[in-house]
Amino acid sequence: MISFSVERMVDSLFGLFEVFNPIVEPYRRFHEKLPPKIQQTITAFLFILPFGILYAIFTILPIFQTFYISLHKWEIMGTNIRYIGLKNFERLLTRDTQFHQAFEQTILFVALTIPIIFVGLFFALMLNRPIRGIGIFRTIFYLPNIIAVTVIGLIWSRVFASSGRGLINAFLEQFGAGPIPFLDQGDLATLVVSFTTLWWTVGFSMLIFLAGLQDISQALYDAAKVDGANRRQQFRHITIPGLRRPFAFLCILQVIASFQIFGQVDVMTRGGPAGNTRTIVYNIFETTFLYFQVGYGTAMAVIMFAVLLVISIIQLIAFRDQGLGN
Amino acid sequence: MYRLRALLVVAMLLMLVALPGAAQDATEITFMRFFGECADEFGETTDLSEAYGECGIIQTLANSFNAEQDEIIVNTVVVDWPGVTELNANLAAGTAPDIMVLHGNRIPNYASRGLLTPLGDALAGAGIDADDLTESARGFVEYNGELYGIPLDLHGHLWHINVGLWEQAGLVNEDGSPDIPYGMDEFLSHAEQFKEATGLPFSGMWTNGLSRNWMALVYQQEGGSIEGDDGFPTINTEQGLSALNFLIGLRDAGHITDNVDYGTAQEIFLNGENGSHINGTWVVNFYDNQVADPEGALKNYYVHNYPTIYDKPAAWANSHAWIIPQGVNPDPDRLAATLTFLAYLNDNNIEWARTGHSAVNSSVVNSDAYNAMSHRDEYAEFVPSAVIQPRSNWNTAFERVLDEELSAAMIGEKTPEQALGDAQTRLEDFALFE
Repeated sequence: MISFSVERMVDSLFGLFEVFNPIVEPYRRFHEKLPPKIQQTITAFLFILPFGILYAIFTILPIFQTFYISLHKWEIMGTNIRYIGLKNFERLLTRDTQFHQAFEQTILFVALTIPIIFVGLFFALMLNRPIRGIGIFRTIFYLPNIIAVTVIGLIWSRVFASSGRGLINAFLEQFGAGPIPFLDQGDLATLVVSFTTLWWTVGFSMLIFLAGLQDISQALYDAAKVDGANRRQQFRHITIPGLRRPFAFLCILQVIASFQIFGQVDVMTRGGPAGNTRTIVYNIFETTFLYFQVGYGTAMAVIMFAVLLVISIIQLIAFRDQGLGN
Repeated sequence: MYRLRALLVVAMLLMLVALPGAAQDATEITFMRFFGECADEFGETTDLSEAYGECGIIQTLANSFNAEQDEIIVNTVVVDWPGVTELNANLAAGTAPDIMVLHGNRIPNYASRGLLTPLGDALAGAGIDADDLTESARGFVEYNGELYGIPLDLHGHLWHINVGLWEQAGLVNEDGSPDIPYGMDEFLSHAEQFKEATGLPFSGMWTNGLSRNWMALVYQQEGGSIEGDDGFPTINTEQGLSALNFLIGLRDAGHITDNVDYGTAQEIFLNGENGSHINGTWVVNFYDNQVADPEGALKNYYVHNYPTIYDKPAAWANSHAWIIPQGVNPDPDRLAATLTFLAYLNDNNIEWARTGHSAVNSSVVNSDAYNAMSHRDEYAEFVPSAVIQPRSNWNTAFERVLDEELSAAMIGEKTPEQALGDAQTRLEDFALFE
C-alpha cells in the first residue's frame, strides 16, 4: 500500500536537488579555499539570489520596460508599435489638459488624505489603554482596512448617493432637507472620495501608531510623573518624540498611496463628475486599457514615477534624523 | 531511492493535471459577454419562452444550446459592460475568449489591428446566411469589405412613457395613447403642462447618456454631424451648441431628472417619479414585465421613437455583435465549435429581439411573429432614424470625453461654448495622435 506523508513528500522534493551533487562538491572545495570575508559575502549573495532573480524579473525589468515603452507608440495588444522618441512626453506636458487636471486632482487628494495620519494617531491614543475588551475595539477600527476597495466603494456610493436613494439623503428627506448632490458636484465628490479613503485606510495608520506607542517605555512616563509632568506635558515630551519614526514612515507611505489612488475613484465616480475626481492612475487606466494607448499611458506612469521619486527623496532627507534616510 | 521517490511524485502530479482533460470528450468554448449576471434566476432555464430581459434570454440561449447537444460545451464568462477592458487584457495575455459580444462601432478598431477572425468564408460552412443580414446591421460588422462579426441586434435610444402620468396631465389622445409632441415648441409646452399638472419632471436621462442624447439632437438639425469630411470630429458647431443649450434649458426648467447614474435614472422612471425616460431598446421587454408587477408604479407603459426636437427624426444607435477574437494559434476544432454556437445564436435571433432590440435578419424583421411583438409597432420608425457614431479612430474616446464635457456644462462648471471647445480639442488631439 502506498502511503503519503508531508515529510516523505518534502524528502522526495529535496531528493530532486541531488542532480546538483556533481557541482556541489567541487564548489565546496573551491569555496573553502577563499578568505573568510569573501566566503561570507558569497554565501549572503547566494541566499538572496532566488529573491533577487524574482525581484529583477517582476520589478526591475518592468520598470525599464516602462521607460522603453514610453518612447513608443504602443498599443495594448502589442499592435502598431513604433518608436516616436519623446513625443508622448511632449504631448503630455504641452497639450494634454486632461492629464494636467488629473495631476492637480491627485495633488488635492494627497493633501486631503494626509489627515488620515492624524486621525490614525487619535484612534491609536484612544485604543492604547489597558481596558478589558480593548482588542475588540482595535479589531473593529482596523476591520475596514481588510475589506476590498470595491466593497468599500459600493458601500459609500450608496451612503452618499446623490438622489433620495442615498442613505444620507434619504435621512435628510425625512426633515424636508436635501438632496445633497454628493457625487454629482465636483468639490463634494472629491471630499466624499477622500473621506472614503480615510475610512478605509485609517486602521493601518492606527495600527502602526499603536505599535509605536507600545514601543515607548512605561518607565519614561513613570519618571515624568515623579517629576510632576502633567498628561499634556507627557504627550508633548514623551509620546510625540517617541512616535517620530512611525510618523515619518506613515508620511512616506501615505503620500505614495494617495498618489496611486484608483479603486475608490473607479467604483464611486469613474473620474466624474465632469472629470473632477480623475486621478493620474485613473487617467493611466483610461488611456491604456480603454483607448489602447499603452505607450502614452506609460509615459504618464514615468512622469508619476519621477514625481514620486523626488517627493520620496525629499521626505527621506527631511526624516533623516529618524533613521529613515539612511 | 530518493530519485525514485521524486519521479513518483512528479508522475503523480502530472497525472493529476492530465486526468480532467482526459475525462472530457466535448469541445469546450469560452463565451464572454456582458448583459449582466442572472445565473440565480436563469442558470438552469433551458426553455426560451420562460426567459425575459437581455440577461435572461442570452443566458437561456447558452443553456439551451448546451442541453440540446453534447459535443460542445459553452462556458459563459460574464464581464462588466462594455467588456473592452477584459477583451484587451485577454488579447494582450493571449487568452482571448472563443466568442465575445462587442459593440459594433468598436469593430473597425479591432479589425484594423488584425485582432478579429475574418468570418466571410467560414459563415456559409456553418450554415449562416450572411445575405439575410439587414443592410444597417451588416454595416456594423463590415470592415474593408470583410465581415468580422455576426450582428446580434440594432439597438438605440427610445422614449419610454408612463402613460398613467401623461393621462393625469391631459396628454393623451382619445384612444388612450400618449399625445406625442413634435418639434421643440410642442415638446416644451407638453413638459410645462406635465409639470403643472403632476409636479414632476416630464422626462429623464442618465449622466452617461448625455453624449448619445446630444448626438441625436445634433443629427436632427439640418447639416448636423459630428464628423467632418476629413474624418475629424466636428463637435464645436452651431448645431452642437444648440443641442447642448436645449438640454441645459430642460434641466434648468426642471423638465428632466438628470445627473444620476443609469440605475437611479431607471428607478426614478419605474417608481413613477417622472413622466418619461430616455433609455434603450434593451429595456422594452423588461419595462413591459414591470407593468405586470402589481406593486409596481408603472401601470400603463408605452414606448415611442426618440423625441423629434428639431427638423427631422434621429436617434443614437449601435449594434451588439458576436466576434471571434484572433487567437495566436487558432484551433480548428474550437473554431468549428464556436461557429456552430454562432449559427445557433443567429438562428434564434428572434428570441433576442424579444428584449426590444431590432432584429438583424431580414427574414426575422419581415416575419409576422416579429412584428406582432409587444410594443414593436410603437417604435417602428426607430431603424430608419438610427444614426451611428462615426467609425473613426477617435470614436473610442467619443462617449467618455463628451459625457464629461457636457456634464461640466450641465452642472455649470463650464459654459456650453467652453465645454464644446474643450471636447473638440481633446478629440482632435486623440484623432491626430492615432
